[in-house]
Amino acid sequence: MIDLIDTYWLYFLVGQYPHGPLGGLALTLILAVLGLLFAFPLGLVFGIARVSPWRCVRWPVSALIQVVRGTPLLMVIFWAYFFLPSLTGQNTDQFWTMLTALVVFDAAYLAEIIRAGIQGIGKGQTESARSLGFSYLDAMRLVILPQVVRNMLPSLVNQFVATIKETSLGYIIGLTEVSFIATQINTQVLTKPAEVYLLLGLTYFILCFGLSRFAFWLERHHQQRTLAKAHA
Amino acid sequence: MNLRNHLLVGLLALVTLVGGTAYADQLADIKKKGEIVVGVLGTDEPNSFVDPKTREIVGYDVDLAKAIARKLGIKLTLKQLAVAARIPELEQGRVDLLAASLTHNKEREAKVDFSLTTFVTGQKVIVRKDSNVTAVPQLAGKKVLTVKGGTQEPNLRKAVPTAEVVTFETTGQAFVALQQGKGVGYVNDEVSILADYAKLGPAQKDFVILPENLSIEPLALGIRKGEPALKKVVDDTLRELEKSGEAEKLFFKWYGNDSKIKFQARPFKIESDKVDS
Repeated sequence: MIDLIDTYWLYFLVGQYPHGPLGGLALTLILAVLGLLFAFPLGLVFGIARVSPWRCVRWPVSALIQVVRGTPLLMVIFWAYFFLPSLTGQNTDQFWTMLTALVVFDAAYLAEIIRAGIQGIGKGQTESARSLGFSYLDAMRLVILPQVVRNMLPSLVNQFVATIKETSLGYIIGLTEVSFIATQINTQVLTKPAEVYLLLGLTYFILCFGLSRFAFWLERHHQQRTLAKAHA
Repeated sequence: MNLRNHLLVGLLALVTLVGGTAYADQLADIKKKGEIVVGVLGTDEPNSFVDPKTREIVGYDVDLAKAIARKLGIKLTLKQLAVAARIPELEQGRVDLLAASLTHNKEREAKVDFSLTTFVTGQKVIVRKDSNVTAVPQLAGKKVLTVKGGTQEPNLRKAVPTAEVVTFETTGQAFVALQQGKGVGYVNDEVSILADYAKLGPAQKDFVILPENLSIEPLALGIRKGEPALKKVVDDTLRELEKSGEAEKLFFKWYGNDSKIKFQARPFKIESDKVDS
């Protein structure tokens, strides 16, 4: 195990960089972070659109969510990379294909969490905000959404953690993220699959567990602040 | 798992049918870009694999690609591909050339053009000793492992129609499955089997390479269909390598005594782009 780490640690962390494309854990992290950063706001927008009083907003977003929920991510990635360019004649790059698929996919799932959160808050909240003179969007932004995000944090974190793990599906289009690299190292070493995949598993665990703990800390921190405010 | 694999193979077939975009002259495009993108496997020692020290992809296929880039006086960029993605990536123009342990056969000629044959290898089966299999026909009804999307699977099905074939994403995964007893045999090109066998160390005593060839595989570089100018440059480069003795040196560098494979003689010359089957 020690010589395995000793020989391959740098390849595992950054792939061929700087002699070739960036890969390995670094690429996985970049994908996951950008995925979360873009998916969350898009998910919020989709979530609000899902409960919008206007049909022309509600329907297209609902259709998109149903389609996304009804297809496996692996197939969407594959399709976007190999099939779409042969229709459009426009070749897309591996990284952006993967990131776009991740963002659209996760935004759809996040939207449903947000929708559940909005519908879980009493109608009275919107009504009182509106009667105090808030516009619909201001009522959403200032009254409803802050409560939604706080209540739904555990579910949101679930989805964020899933995003990190979904980056591993990039192997299908030859994206050299950390699982691709691990498989390659395994092919090269050939006699130590248990060790290679144990290290890979540990890596994902550390990433996901780290995010969960951070979210937990955030939740507690928020609670204390709210309590402090209430007492003040 | 199985359903997913079928789905993917089906999609790949669909993609291949739809085909790629037409280009005026690829060679001119490559020269204008100042860069040739060559698709390699990166998982198939000694044709193309990652050198852990430098973290660069090296191998016989890579050296051929380098010679072509040198001849054109442009930069070489390698792109790693999965076995099943090789031909779609070439057809869609994401890579300019394939140097990816690609078998040249008649069936594939409909989709890709091939360079002169750069290597000839038999395809063989390595079996676990405890299976007591000593000849290819004895694989009937048994589980045999290999990679998906290559010629290994159809060749095996032709040789032993009743064998139960299990396929994996990379040859390495299939070989690990063999070590774990998930099947009795594993099919691959002889050179790759020899390289894998060498890595087993003391465990070599538990495995035997069956002497018969399932097939003879001429390997070649893949070029997008209808690009005569590019094909000419590639073939000219290969002919020059053969004439100068450089091709023979490359053969012994990767397959000779200093390698894990230890071939003593070179059973072919780079001279023809015709195949029998």
